[in-house]
Amino acid sequence: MTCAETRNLMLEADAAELTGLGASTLAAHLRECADCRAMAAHLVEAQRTLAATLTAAAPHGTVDSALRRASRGGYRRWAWRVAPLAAAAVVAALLVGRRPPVDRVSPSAYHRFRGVIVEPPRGRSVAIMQADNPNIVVIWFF
Amino acid sequence: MSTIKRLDDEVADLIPAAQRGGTAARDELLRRCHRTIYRWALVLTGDRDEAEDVAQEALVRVYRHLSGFSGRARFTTWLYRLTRNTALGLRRQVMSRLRLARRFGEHVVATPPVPEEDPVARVQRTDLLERVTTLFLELPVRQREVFHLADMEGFTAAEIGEQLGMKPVTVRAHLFRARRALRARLLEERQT
Repeated sequence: MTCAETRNLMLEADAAELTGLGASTLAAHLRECADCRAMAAHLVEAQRTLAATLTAAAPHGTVDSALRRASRGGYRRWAWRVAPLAAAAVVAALLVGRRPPVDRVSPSAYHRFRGVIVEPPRGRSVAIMQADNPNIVVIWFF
Repeated sequence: MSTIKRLDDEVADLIPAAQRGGTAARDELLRRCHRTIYRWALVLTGDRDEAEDVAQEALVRVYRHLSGFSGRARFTTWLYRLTRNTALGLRRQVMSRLRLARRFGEHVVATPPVPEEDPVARVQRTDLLERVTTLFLELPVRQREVFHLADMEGFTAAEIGEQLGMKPVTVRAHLFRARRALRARLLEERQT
C-alpha cells in the first residue's frame, strides 16, 4: 500500500486503527511508515483534545435551580389551563368597560328612572346604568 | 469505559427509585446527568449560554417525564433524545455559524482539559484545540452530532440511529463524511 492510499484511508478510519492497532492494511502500513504514523498521530491527538475539552466542559447553572423551576411547574401548568378563561374575562371586561352607559346617574338615596322610583334599602345607595341594549338596565345597590 | 457507559451504570439503581417517587434518588439522578446534558447541548448549540438554557430545560423535562422512560433502550439514549428535542425547541434561528464558532471557541479555549507544564506544548495544544474546534463547528449539525456521539461518546451506529431516527447505514455515512471533512482540513493545514 502506498502512502497516498494510506492517507486516503486515514480520513475515514476508526481512531484505534489510526494508532496502528489491528490487522488491517492501514494499521500495518502505519506501523512501518514514520511519516504516515506522524500524520495519523496528529489526527488522533486533535480528536483526543477536542473530546477531552468537551468532557471537561462544566455548566454554570445548578441542578437546584432546575428543581425549583420543575416544582413550580405544577402551578404553571394549572395557570396555562385557566389562561384562556382569564383572557376571555379580561377581553369581556374591556369591551363592557369601553361602552359608555347611556344613562348613568350618581349614587343617591333614591332615583327616578323612566317614571319608576328606585329606593335602596336603608343605609345604602343606588346607581342605575342603562346598557347599550335598551332591554337591559343595571340597578346597583351599594 | 466511556463516560456514557459509566453514566448508564451510575444511574441504573437511581432510575427505578426515582420513578417510585424517591426525591433523593431523583435529585441525585439529575445531578449525575447534568454535566452530560450540558456537554451534548454544547455540541448541539455551539453556544455556552444557550447550552446552559438547554441543560436547565432538559433537567426540568427529565424531572417531569422520567416516568415515561420504559427501560427498553439505554437511559442515555432516552436522555439524548430528550436533550436534543429540547435544544431544537430552544434554538435561536438567527444565530450565524460564524458566531457559533467564535463563542464556542472562546469557551473551549478558556477551559483547557489537561494542565501542561511546558509552555510550548501548551501553546501548541491550544492552537490545535482552537483549530479542531472551529473545524468541528463548521460541520453540518447532523454530521457534528453523529461524529461526537460515535467517536467521542462511544455510541454504536445502531444506538445513534435510534437517537436520531435514522438507519445505522445512514449514521455511518454521516460519520465517514464528518471524519473525512475534519481530517482532510487538519492534514491540509499541517502540511502548509
